[in-house]
Amino acid sequence: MAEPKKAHWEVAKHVLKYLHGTIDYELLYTRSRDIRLNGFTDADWASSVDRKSTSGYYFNIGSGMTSWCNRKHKSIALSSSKVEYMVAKTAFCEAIWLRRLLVNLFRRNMEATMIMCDNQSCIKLSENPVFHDRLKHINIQCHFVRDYVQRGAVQLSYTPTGEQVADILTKVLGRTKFDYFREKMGMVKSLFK
Amino acid sequence: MHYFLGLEVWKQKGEIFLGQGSYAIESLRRFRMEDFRPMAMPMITNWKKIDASEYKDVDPTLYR
Repeated sequence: MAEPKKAHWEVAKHVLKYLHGTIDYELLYTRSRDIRLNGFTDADWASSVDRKSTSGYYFNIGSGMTSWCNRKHKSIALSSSKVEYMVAKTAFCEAIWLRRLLVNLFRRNMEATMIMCDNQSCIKLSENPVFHDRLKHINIQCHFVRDYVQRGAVQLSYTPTGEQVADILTKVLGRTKFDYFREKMGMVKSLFK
Repeated sequence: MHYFLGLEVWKQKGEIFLGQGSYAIESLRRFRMEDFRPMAMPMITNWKKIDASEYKDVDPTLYR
């Protein structure tokens, strides 16, 4: 923070108070027979005051979350489907790395990884080989994502906003939704404290 | 319970719990906030985007 102001200070303190409220929370991992990697990506387009977007993804292997990320973008995206596509690309990189790690650990072939996304046009872009003029500045990302979709290793799939767990990483949610998504990510109240 | 790189690990049949309770308490103590009112949400929900430049400055050495 180059110019810390009172407003930032209050928000930062609120985060610590939240930390205080969740001391008893833990990540729960349960045993599962198959090793299936599931992903969720979401983006909040032009959400910041400077119109930059926020994006996030998270992965689980059947239960609690194993890998997650959220960040404010460094550049400004012109449309929501573009920003969704950018985060899909980042999630694809993570998925490919995690798949390699899992194959090395368990010496087993894996089923295709489904990455859930709530943006239909982004999913269509990943499947459809037609190029649009407006996408030429991100065509390397497009080719990268499509290449993996065609190989069948990673796929983008639709999930309605109400079940889009990655929403929690990108926007301010109401209490009910926040608690629901947090539990879905494997954050539960400790049984041991 | 086991400790591993600051993580607290609990195990029971078919389940593993990972927590950071002690680290959280330590962080709160650092800012003398262990007696503050705990919150259920990380951010207020009726949050509006504001122009922070209108607010007063904060001494950055408080958290650095």
